Amino acid sequence: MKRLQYERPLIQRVNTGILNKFGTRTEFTPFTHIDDVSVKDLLQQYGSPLFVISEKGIREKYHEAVRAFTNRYPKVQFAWSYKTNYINAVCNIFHQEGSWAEVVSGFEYNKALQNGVPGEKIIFNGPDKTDEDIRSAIANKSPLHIDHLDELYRITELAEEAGVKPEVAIRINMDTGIYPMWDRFGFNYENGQAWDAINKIILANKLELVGLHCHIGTFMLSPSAYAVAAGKMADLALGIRNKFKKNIKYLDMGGGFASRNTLKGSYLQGADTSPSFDQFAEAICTALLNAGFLQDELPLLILETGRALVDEAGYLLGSVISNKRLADGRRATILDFGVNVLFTAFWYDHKISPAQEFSHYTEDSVLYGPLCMNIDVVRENCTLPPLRKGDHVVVHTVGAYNMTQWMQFISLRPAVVLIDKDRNAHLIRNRETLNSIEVEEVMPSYLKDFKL
Amino acid sequence: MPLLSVSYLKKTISSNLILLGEGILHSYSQLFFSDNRWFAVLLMASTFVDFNAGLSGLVALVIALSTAQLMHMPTSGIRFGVYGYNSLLVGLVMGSWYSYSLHFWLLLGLISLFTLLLSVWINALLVKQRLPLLGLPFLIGTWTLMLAVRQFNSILVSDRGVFIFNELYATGGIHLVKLVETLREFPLPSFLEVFLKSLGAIFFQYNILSGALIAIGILIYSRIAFLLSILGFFTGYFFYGWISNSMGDIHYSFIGFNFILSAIAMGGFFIVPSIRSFLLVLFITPIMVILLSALSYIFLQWQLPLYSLPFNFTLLLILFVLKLQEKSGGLYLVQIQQFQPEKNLYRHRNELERFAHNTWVHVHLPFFGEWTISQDDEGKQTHLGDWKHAWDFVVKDAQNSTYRLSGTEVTHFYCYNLPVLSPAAGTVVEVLDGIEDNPIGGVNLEDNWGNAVVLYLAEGLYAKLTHFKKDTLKVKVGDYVKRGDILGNCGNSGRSPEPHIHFQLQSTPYIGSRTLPYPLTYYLRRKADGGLALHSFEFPKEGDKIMPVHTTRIIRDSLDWKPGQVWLWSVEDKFKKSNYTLRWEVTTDVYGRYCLWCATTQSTVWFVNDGVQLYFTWYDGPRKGLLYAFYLTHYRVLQGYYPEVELKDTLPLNKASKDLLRYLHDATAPFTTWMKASYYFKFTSVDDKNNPRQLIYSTNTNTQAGNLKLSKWQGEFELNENQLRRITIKGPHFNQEALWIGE
Repeated sequence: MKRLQYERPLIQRVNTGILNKFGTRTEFTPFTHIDDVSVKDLLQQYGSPLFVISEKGIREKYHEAVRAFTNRYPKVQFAWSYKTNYINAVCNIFHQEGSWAEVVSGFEYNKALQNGVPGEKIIFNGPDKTDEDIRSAIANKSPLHIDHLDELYRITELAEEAGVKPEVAIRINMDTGIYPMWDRFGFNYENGQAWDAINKIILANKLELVGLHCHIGTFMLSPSAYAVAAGKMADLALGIRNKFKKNIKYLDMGGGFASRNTLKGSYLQGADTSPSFDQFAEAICTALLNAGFLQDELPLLILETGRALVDEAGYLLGSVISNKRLADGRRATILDFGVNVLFTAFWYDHKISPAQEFSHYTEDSVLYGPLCMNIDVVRENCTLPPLRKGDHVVVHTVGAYNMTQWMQFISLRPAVVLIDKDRNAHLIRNRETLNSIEVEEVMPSYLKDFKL
Repeated sequence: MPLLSVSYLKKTISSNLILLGEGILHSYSQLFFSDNRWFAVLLMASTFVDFNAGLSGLVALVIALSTAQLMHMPTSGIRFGVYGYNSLLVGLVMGSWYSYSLHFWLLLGLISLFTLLLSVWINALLVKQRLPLLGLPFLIGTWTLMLAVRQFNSILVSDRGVFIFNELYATGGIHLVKLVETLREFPLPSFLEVFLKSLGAIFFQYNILSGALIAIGILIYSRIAFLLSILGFFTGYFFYGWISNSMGDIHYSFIGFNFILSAIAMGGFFIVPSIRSFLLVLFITPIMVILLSALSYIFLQWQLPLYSLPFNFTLLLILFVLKLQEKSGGLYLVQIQQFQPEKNLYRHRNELERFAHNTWVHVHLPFFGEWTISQDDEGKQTHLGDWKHAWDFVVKDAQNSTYRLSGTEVTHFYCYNLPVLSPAAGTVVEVLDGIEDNPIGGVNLEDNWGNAVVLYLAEGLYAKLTHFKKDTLKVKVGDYVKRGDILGNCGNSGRSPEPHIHFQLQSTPYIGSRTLPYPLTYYLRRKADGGLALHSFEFPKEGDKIMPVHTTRIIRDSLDWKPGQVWLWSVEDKFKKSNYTLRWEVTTDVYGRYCLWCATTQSTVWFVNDGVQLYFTWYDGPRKGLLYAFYLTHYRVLQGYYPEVELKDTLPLNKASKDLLRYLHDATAPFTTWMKASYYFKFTSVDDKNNPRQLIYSTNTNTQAGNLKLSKWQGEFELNENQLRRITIKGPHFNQEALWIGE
């Protein structure tokens, strides 16, 4: 007979208040395996904390998105948003599935080129493109998405210098009825800036306007905003066709689709409130199909969604460092990862599961990270079974923005492991070492020596 | 001006002489159902073994054809010898029976003219029944001549053949006499001797030499015809011997040639050669024996030879009867005459394989993206009885589920509210709207079909799509829709427990009409390994994951060949190390079919562009040059860029293979196939998948005998800015690259 596990005693206040509609919510289902690979083994092999990415999860999600759009529209292309997760192995999964690349800096651009993405399949977005970036994009025939007039003028100059007519698109911002309105990027639709830029490009005839781009916000919970956006984009494209007898080749609807994370302050769980790909696709495709394009002249629909594709495939595994009681009586648990690694903890209430079996007793606690900083809070309140030092936890839905926004602060960044379709684990990023940080440092000679 | 008219006259005369020359050659080869010039020369030579006969035959032929030319008879009748060969035969008979004199020549001319008139008239009568002219004018002409000559004392029966050695001595001295004696004494079994002499008898040359020449000619012309000639002759020969206990006419007048002619005609020329056509010969020949015996008894009374009367009568009888068949019972009449049994066979087989299932109106899948068939033809649930030919479509995810979440609401279903497209161009004839969606699991048996649209596609062909979501229909009765126009959105109305599209073809315009089995023209099917396969004119099955074919503009525009278009190619012949320019023209034939024409090689390629594929249907011309190579390697092209799709097709063996082994294959071809010419097509590269400006595809054309690989062709084609710009073809003794240099 298996010995029962020891659990420390806990005192719990009798909760006589009203239950919420889901009963007393607990998140203590043990999560011991990711794609049939044991969490314990992974931590043993690669150390704690550890990011784990499920290749199966990525591919299934991608297929779901592709299905949702291709069943509603004849010409669809996805472009992998590098800033969401630019670990090369992850990028290449998307490229293998047929995704282009969408980048917003020279660094990301070179990363995509190095991964082997053909130049004409790298979309160059963002407000900060250096002369060097623009020259490189022109040489590689990458579509440049223009953010502001200064950039338009500079690209025009550099194109003349190179003696070519590069393909460009302009970023449009617009009122889609949501707040905040992202009007800091691109040219506004309502006040005529967009038409101003279009006229300038087409009449100057130095650049080839092939597309229109928009990106109406992030973590959008309302698909109808996309219907408004698609309608306005189509209106511009048809306007260009009527005015200049020119067909816009593609409409890039950007990204911003919500993942299944729960935003802080949200009453309901993200898994229940986030729209599905089908809902976003329905809003966008219906608007485009009804916009009045000729069947043969429907523009290519490009989607740059990142978060919704990769978030759920990412897991962060960690261990308990210690338990303590706070002054106000709340219980606190200190974990070996904090906001330096899990940057998205700033805006999500991440779902966290223990990675081993427990009894049914649970307790509210604050989850802290290991940093000597007061802001290092992973969850302000989380109902978990009593955890002991050395126990493991799994943070869910961390695939997006963490492996790019993580900080080397106080401690080093953890390793990243990919579990492939055949349940084999591959190390795709090494745990950082002292050397990985110091390799870029330069020591002036007079500072080399000191005596204490 | 006079200069001009002289040159014009010269031109007219030379073109008329060419026509006459062609007509003469074809008149000889026509006698053995061929259009081969070398065979014609051989046959002509064999008629001159009896010089007098050969000469008078040729003279009669020239008289008939040039008269037909002067009378402006249809050129095709002259060119293909239709108006000539009957007079030729009359001339041959006259030359071998009567001796030359002034009267002879005059009579020859007149009887030749008479036969020409008969040929034109009888041909016109028979063409209406789609029957061949055969030798009726010859028979009437010859019998007329023979009966008349009995009154004409000035025409003398030739005594050649009576004093044969005198003649031989006079012609070639003692050596010739000895040679002929040796040949005559040549130890041949009697049946073989009779066979050869019967062959010679077709040209009224009752000797072994002529027969042997003709036999060799037939073997070169067609292995199948040679087999048939043996089968026909010996069936008749032995049946006659067995039933009459003597060899009578067969030995005496070599009337057995009737069996040979009808065997070739029935077994492979007018009917596609097959085991059945051989059996037909086996059964019809004994009937001919009976006919032959009966007729010879009648004709004996008038002392007239039968000649080919039994053959003519039997063949017309068989062909006429076969034309009345409601459907082909394995004996296929040759539709477009290729003038060789092998060619008839290879073309027939090829067309059967490629086009047997083609339909006139093209019908495509009515949606975007990948769907799954949840119920197909004769489905177990509701596609029963009169309504069995239909498809139900749903969308499934990777886990094979049709819904997300709990699947208890229609909105959980992936296909719910997806756009439903028009499967073909047509007119909306019926629209039903206003029926609410059922809750999941419920069915509305009162409004069985739910919200529905019926489209008129062609006379007797309607498409019906049902179970639309209420108030999503965008069309009304009388609207004309193109393929791919949105009709409405998928819903769950009618007899539909979960959202799906029901699609059927029917022959009447009502919502409750019974269904019609009608294949989908083109669709892509997801294979188990994740790749895609193109299906054409097929019925997708339950569980198939399928999607419609979208065409790619650059391919469509590059292959949109319209009559009047001219292309100039700068060709580099890397094999012969030379350069030249070539001119191809898109044109139409008399039937309005599109074709490519190359004046340099005098060759034509027929093509069909159905909007999804461009494919070649036939090639006519010499088997050399760039257009021939283009025919082999650009045989079928998909107009949508799908790099995972590989097309496969087969070519008629006689067009693709120049291998010697094929001549052996010919002999067995009616019974079995062990050689095959296959074509493979694949996209190689593209600059931008979604808006391509440059695209390359490559093809392979291989001939294979069993596992033995024979000739191999490779083609690579580059499209650039809506034009086929580069053709690179390598093959046996062939390596050319052509660059488009203008229109």
